[in-house]
Amino acid sequence: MFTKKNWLLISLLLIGIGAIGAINVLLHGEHVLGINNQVPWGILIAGYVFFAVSSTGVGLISSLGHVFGFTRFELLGRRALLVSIILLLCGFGVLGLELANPFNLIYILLSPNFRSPIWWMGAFYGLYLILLFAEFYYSLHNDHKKVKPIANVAFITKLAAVSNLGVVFGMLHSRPFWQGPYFSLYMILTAILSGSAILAIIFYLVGEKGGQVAYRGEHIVISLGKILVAALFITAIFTFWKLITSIYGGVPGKYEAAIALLKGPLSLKFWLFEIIAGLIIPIYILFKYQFQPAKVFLAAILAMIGVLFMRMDFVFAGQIIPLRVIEGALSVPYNTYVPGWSEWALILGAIGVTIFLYIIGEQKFKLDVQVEEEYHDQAGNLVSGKAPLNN
Amino acid sequence: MARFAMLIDASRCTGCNACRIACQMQWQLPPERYFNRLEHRERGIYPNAKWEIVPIQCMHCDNPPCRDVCPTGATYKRTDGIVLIDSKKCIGCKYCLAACPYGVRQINENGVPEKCRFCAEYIIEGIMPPCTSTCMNEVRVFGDLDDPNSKISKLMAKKEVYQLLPEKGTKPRIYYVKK
Ligand code: SF4
Ligand code: SF4
Repeated sequence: MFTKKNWLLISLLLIGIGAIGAINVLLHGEHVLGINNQVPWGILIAGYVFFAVSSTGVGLISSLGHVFGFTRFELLGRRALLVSIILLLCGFGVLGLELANPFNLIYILLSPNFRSPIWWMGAFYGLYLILLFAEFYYSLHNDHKKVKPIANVAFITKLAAVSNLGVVFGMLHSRPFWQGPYFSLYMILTAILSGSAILAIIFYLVGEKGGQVAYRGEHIVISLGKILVAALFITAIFTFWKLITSIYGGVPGKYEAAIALLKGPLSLKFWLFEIIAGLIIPIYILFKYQFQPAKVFLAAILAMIGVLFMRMDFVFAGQIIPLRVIEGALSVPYNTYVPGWSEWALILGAIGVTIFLYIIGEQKFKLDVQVEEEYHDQAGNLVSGKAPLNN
Repeated sequence: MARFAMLIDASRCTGCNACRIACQMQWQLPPERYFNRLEHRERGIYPNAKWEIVPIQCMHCDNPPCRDVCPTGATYKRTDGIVLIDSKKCIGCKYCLAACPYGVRQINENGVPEKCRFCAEYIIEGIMPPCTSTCMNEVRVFGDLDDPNSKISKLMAKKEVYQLLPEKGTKPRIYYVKK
């Protein structure tokens, strides 16, 4: 089922769909998007957040090896860098198309407003992309003297970028559901969630193909699954308290947004995809099967579907409540937003591009990393070298 | 230095929408796009009920969140207080739309979120904005707060006024007469 040919076919199909959407957006501009004056940010912004935060998350997990010296995570090194680069490029691509003109992104640099969180977002993620390329380059050339300092700077940049992404929303006093520092912390947390999930998916497949995935004889996906389950748990706690604090006391704007998620127009997406498929079932699978790599793989795929919907719920929940300028004025109960087909096509296309570029990367580069390790062989002697996989 | 502002006496508004149409004519807007709107609310219980109408447009805030969040500085505030958009600099991120608590911005055909301009080009020639001059009930008074003899300055000294959503910290330049 998971043959390279099948993955290539799937990715090309998705890219085809995305290309049609992209052409439609480029030809006809914003009119083909479902956004409107009440809901100016749609699923393309959610898609951008999905890709950018995933990219950062993959980077944060691999920092465990490069920056914090947990040897087993050094195994992730090159593949993590590669996928992080691809995800970020896809994020920028989706954002560029949302602006209906990708070159507008560059204009941010030419005419900066340092008070704008979006400006900082461009700066931090731009810098992160450059550092990723540099780190990947030196890592491929085994130049560890250069990799180490770049990885350290990249670690700070990642944290700045991902927490600033939360602040892009948190700075908006006009939208009470987003306002505050909560989403900065939430972005860091859910970056770890999606980062561990994506790496688990990749390293499971790499292991199936016979790539190096073992540290001291243990599949790295087991460790990733443990990080994933912790991130899922904490995300559940974050989500719980966010909703409770929004409902308790009925704070205007926050309350209605929370109700929209719990039993309003967003409830199906929220309960079915974000909570049940994205949190509960993965946690159940991970514990029930004690982090068996194949099951971690399954849980990670579900978690990523959950994350995609989590991003959409988050972006829409902030805007679904009509602004209350005059107390008691007549208004619709909820703002509406129906994504255009091109928007869905672009999200699918970006997922396709991620898979496609990753397959090409696997072919082009030598991604296996030799991790120094000591282990007991079958006779019980301590030896050093590359341990065989024993599960 | 001029300090432009507007005083709105909402209790005089009949809801005829002439201001909206005059503005649409002025700026050649398509019917679905408008820079000023009327909000309606019902007060009291029949037979002691009242229908209230409040005209709303860009408040030309003194602390405008739309300007602060704009990544390229496309949205800016002139020294006379008018908040404008330089569409050449606008990248269409719609951050300003998300940031404005009054919901007054409208995406145009080029993806630029536009809004009321206080008729910047006209008022410097002494012409009143059409929303102000067209109104049969003189709901709006537009003028310079730094000129003690302007009509708006005199009215502001006499009447009790309020601003919309002061809790958002935007410091609007549009004032409303208290009933
Ligand atoms: S009312 Fe809205 S668009 Fe106008 S200046 Fe204030 S924040 Fe900006
Ligand atoms: S849409 Fe244009 S005016 Fe509004 S914040 Fe973005 S760049 Fe500035």
